[in-house]
Formats: sequence, C-alpha cells, structure tokens
Amino acid sequence: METDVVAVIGPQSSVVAHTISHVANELQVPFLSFAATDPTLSSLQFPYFLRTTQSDLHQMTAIAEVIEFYAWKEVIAIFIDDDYGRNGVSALDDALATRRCRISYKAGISPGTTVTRSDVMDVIVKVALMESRVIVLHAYPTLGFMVLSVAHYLGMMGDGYVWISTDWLTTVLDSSPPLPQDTMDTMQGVLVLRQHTPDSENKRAFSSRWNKLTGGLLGLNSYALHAYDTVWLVAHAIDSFFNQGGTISFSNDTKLQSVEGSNLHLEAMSIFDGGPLLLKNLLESNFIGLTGPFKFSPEKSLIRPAYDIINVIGTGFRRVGYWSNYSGLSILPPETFYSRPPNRSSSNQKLYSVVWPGNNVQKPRGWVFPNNGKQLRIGVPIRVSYREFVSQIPGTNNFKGFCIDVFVAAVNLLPYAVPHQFVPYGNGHENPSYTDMVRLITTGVSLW
Amino acid sequence: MLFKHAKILLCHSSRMNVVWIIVSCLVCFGVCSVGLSGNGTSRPAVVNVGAIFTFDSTIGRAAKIAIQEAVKDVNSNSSVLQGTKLVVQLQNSNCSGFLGMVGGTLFSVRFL
Repeated sequence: METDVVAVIGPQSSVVAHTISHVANELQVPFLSFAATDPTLSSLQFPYFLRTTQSDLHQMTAIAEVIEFYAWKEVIAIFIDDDYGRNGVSALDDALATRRCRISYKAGISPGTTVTRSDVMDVIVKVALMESRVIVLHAYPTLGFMVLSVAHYLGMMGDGYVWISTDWLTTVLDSSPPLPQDTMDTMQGVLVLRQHTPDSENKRAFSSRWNKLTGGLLGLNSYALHAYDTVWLVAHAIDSFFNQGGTISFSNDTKLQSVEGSNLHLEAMSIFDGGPLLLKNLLESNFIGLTGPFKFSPEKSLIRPAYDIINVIGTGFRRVGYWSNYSGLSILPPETFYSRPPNRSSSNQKLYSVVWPGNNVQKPRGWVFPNNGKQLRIGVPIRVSYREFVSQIPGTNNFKGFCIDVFVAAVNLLPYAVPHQFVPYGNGHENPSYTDMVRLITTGVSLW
Repeated sequence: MLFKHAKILLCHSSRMNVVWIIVSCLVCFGVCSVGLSGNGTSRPAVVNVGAIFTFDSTIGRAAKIAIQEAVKDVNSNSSVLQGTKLVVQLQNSNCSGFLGMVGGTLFSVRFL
C-alpha cells in the first residue's frame, strides 16, 4: 500500500458517509466526520464512524422546541430528498410527535444537479395551498437559496408565514462576505439555527489568527472549528495509542483475495491492526478544544449539544436566544446553566422577541384555511313537526328556522370565515331518527 | 627500576582505566537504549492521517484552512506526539453520492 493511513478526517457529506462507512468497518480505520450531520450515521451499523460535530437529531429537537414554544401544531417540511435531508426530517417528525405536533406535509426536492427553478416552483406552489404556514427548510445552500427566492416570488415571505431554516444558512452567512440585498430580501424574518460554540480566549485568538490568514475574505464557521478540533482529537488519540503500546501495522484482507484481475488492485487494501485500540482511544478522549469541552458520550456523540437561534433582519442577523439539550430555550448562553440543576419547565423557556416575515412583530397564527380544504358539512333533518325550528325552503338546498338563525349569528361573530354546507336527511314524511343519522356519520356513509 | 616499573604499571592502568570507562559507557548506553525501546515500542517518525471532503464548498473552504492550521499547531506542540510528525493527506471528494463513493473507494485503495 502507498501510505499507512491510520484514521481519516471526513467525509463532509452524509451521503458519502453512508457508502464509505462500509470501507471503514472492513478496514478498521476510524472516520471522523466534522460535518456529516445525518442522525442515522450514529447507528450501531457504523462502529468506525465517529461524528465530531453535533447530529441533526439535536438540531431537530431544538426546532421542535421552538415550535412548541410558539404553540404551533402543524408544520410543513421542505427538504432535499437525500440521506441528510430525509433523515433530518424524520428526526423532526419524531421530535414533534413527542410534543403532540406534526408535519402535515413533506415536500421533498430531488438532490440532482439538474433541478431547475421551475421544478422548485412546482413544489412550492403545492406548499402554498396547504393549511399550515409554518415551514421548516432543510437543504444545502444552492437549493436552499433557490427555494427562498421562489417563495419570495410567490409572496410566501410575507405576513402570516413562519420560516425556520437549519444551519446550512448560517454556515453561508458566517463564511461569506455580506450577501447582496436582493438575496437578503428573500429571507427577511427567517429563524435559523447554528451550532453553538462557547466563547473562550482560545476561540477569540483563533478568530483573529483566521482573519489575518484569510484577509477577511472568508469567515469562520462552526464546521471549521469542529474540523480544527478533529485534528487535535486524532493527535491526542494517537498519542495515547502509542503510550499503550499500539503499533502501526496492516494485514491483508483475506476477503479481497478473491477479487482479482481488476485494474483497481482492490487486494492492495489492508486492515489496520491497531484500529480497535485507536477507536477506543478516540472514544475516551477528553480535552478542551475551540468548540468547548471535547468528549464523547456513551452513545458516541459529542457532549453538550447546543444551538444559537438567529433571526435574519435587514442586512444581517441577530441572535434571539439559545437552545441546549440541558436547559432548553434561553436568552443566556448554555454554559451558564451546566453548573446548575437542569430546569426544563415551560415557564423557564425564554427567547427574545423575533421580527417575523413581513416585518411583523406579532407572532403569526401559523395556519390558514386551505384552498383545497373541505367545507364543514352540517346534517339537517327534514322535519315534519316543529318546522319553526328548522325546515327546508321548498325547491332549494337552503334551510330556514330558529336553529339556522342561531348558527349563522354565531358564525358571524367568529374572527374568521367558516365555509359550510347543509346536507338534508330524511324522507319528508316523518321525523328522521337522530340515532340513525349519527350512526350513518360514524360509519362514514354519505348522506347525499 | 621500580620507578620505571611503577611508571609502566601506571601507564598500563590508566589505559585500562580509559578502556574500563569506555566499556562501562557502552554498557550504559546499551542499557539506556534497551530501556527506551522497551518502554512502549519506538514511535514512528511520521504518522499518516487522511482527510476527505469537498474543497470547493462553503464548509470545505473553511475546513481546509482549519485542518492545515491544526496540523501546524499539533506539530509545533511538544506535549502531544513528541518526536512524531502528523501528516494529513487531503483528498477532494464531491457531494454527489456516486462520485463520492467512487472517489472514496479509490482513496481507500490508494491510502488504506
């Protein structure tokens, strides 16, 4: 073999991570990904895959808690339909279900490179016809910006809408120079999450070193900080590995001997003998990195998951609070709570006020009557006696009477419309049985 | 005569002393070196680690610089991996699942 690599930093893409993990498992080489956030990668199926960043399981829990905080019940998910997008939305589904909310509509967009603006338009138009006005957007930058642009064009970035985006957006906002105003206009009022890293002297020093290195052209994002800490993790783990007598040696993989005659020379791949010991040292690592205390929990994920909650307004963005697994939603950084006993009561959850899409400071209701919704169907008995209470106007489908007057007056007092239709029941010769009518409704028989 | 003999004896003994010193030094070194290698086997001069991510992406551009800076910091730090140089071999992948799989497999063949 060419170079004796004992560990690999990466991959970045969750999609690539799924396929490469089989190589990692076989050759016993730990892969340490600082950016693959698909929650299903934590599975026991991938023992040699270590995630050195936070899983989207926690990001989706954070989003579910934000939705619960604002008392919305149904949300729509627009996502890129690959491993990262699909599994992230699945985690959101679970997180919402435990809070008795749900995703009422999932709009997946193909991850292919040939997706055009009109493909995205077809998807977003369907979303506009739905009842919910709370939308969670989970994609990559290229597709994400296209969705926001199309939504803005369709007038869906205005009053009444709520957009919550995952951290693909903050990665771009943190790294790029200020985006053009047209682009910023398409995301006014959006709530975004970002992986939280505690403030520290080391982080500040690294930040100024970064600015000197990049000349201010490339901003520092949380994934870069995790990548930096991953190198230190590897260094510490290899150090311990040597201290425990580990050696770097490789053995031929007997399973590959049968794969001969191929130009790829697959039989050249060898198993790293020290793999299990190095993996053990990686999992036992404990040091303070730029992202804070760097340590794995027994479930092989980084400790202390936390996110910043950002509101995009004007030409930039503003932090409205934090979420952490330990303390929930707060306006103080999560580090202030770790020394205190956890308090997850709903009265303890706080966020600063948000400026919603349409420059709205009132919390949007989060739903409307859908264009393709069902009318409220009201069964009305065709009575023979006491016709002053309710009776059908002959020759029409309308009804009159005291009951109808009370109903119409009550509906007029509501702050919203109630589209309804009266459905007559009965043969007109005798009073219909109410018991029969209710039974027909419960068994789902149409009264037409 | 005795004095001459004594002189010769003295010369002899000093030479013996020198030889004795040299031999004892060699033995000491021998013991020391055995002691060094016996304590957790001799570490290699270089340890190789791979890195695979998409260079031309928002995350990748920043990650590349961060990883390179971290490698510099690790190698200039005397308390971690003393005497061993950490080398990170960077390999560009692609967000496409197919190209990532192909690239990843080829990377494995080359590097693992």
